[in-house]
Amino acid sequence: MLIVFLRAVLLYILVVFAIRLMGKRQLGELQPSEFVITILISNIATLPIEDPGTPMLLGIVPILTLVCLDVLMSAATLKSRKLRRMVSGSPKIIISDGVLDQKQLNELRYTADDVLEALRSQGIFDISEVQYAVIETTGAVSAFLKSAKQPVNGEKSQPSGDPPQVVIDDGDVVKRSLAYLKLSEEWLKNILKDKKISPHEVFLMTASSDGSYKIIEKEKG
Amino acid sequence: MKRVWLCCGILAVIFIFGVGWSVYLGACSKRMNTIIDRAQSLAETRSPDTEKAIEELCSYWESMASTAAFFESAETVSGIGDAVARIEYLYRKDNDEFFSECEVIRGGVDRIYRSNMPLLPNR
Repeated sequence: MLIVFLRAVLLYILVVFAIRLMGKRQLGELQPSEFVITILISNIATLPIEDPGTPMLLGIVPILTLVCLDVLMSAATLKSRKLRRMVSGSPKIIISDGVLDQKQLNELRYTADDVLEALRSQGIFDISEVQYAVIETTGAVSAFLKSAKQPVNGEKSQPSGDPPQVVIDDGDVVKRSLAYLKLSEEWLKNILKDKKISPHEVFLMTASSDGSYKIIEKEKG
Repeated sequence: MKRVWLCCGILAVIFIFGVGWSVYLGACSKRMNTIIDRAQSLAETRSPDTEKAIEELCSYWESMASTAAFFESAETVSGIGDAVARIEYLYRKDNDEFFSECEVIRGGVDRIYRSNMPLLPNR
């Protein structure tokens, strides 16, 4: 009895430490890899508690290994957009200007009911009111209402059209976003030339289809 | 960045410890085999040194078991421990099962060693 109690206490401390080691990323919505790690940890942690014949180290070693690999993987994905897309996927546009992209929904194995349910949870009951909706890498649906349907709050009204898209992410040009906004690479080059910066010096650049943009340069040093 | 270095450190410690444990098990398995071979050959000739060899086997297994218990399931360790505890009695009673129990010990120790080797087949 006492051994099970002590093992449970030790593994509780270890799992809390492991979750802290994974950082705040873990506490919000889970990325696919984090979801797998969380399930694995909870399964592995129960083995030495359930069976006193199983050595504690057979629980501790895999938990620490999985958590450390997850931290290293998330550090690597910070450096490489390609790896990030490979591990976590990328957000997919499912509604554009009130029209459902059925092909994309089929690829994501999402039904229209799933989308409607997600929209209803955000207080949207009519797809035609949605200007733009994406399925995030966590599986959550984010929707952006058409300007006419947005609540009036006294602030400057939102511009009509799609919300801004990321066109440079940590130095990498996102060609997909440029194509979506129907903007050319030439347009981007001219802007960067005017600002006298190269794409590698840009931390984040967002742009809208009307050609407006915002640039956040990388911090130096 | 601190987290990344901490994780690298933890993984390095686990890896080095794992390699060290495999090397240690290899050495232990070899030593146990030598002691078992000696005890068996002495027992065949009913040499007076047999009891000494059995004692050596028992004490070596005791020291190995205390370390193995950290990494191996209690079932595996106690299975070999039971066989080790029996052989002295079987030898005194001149029971032929002494030799088969020696083989049980040899097989058990070998299984511990093989199960710790990073190979695809589960042995």
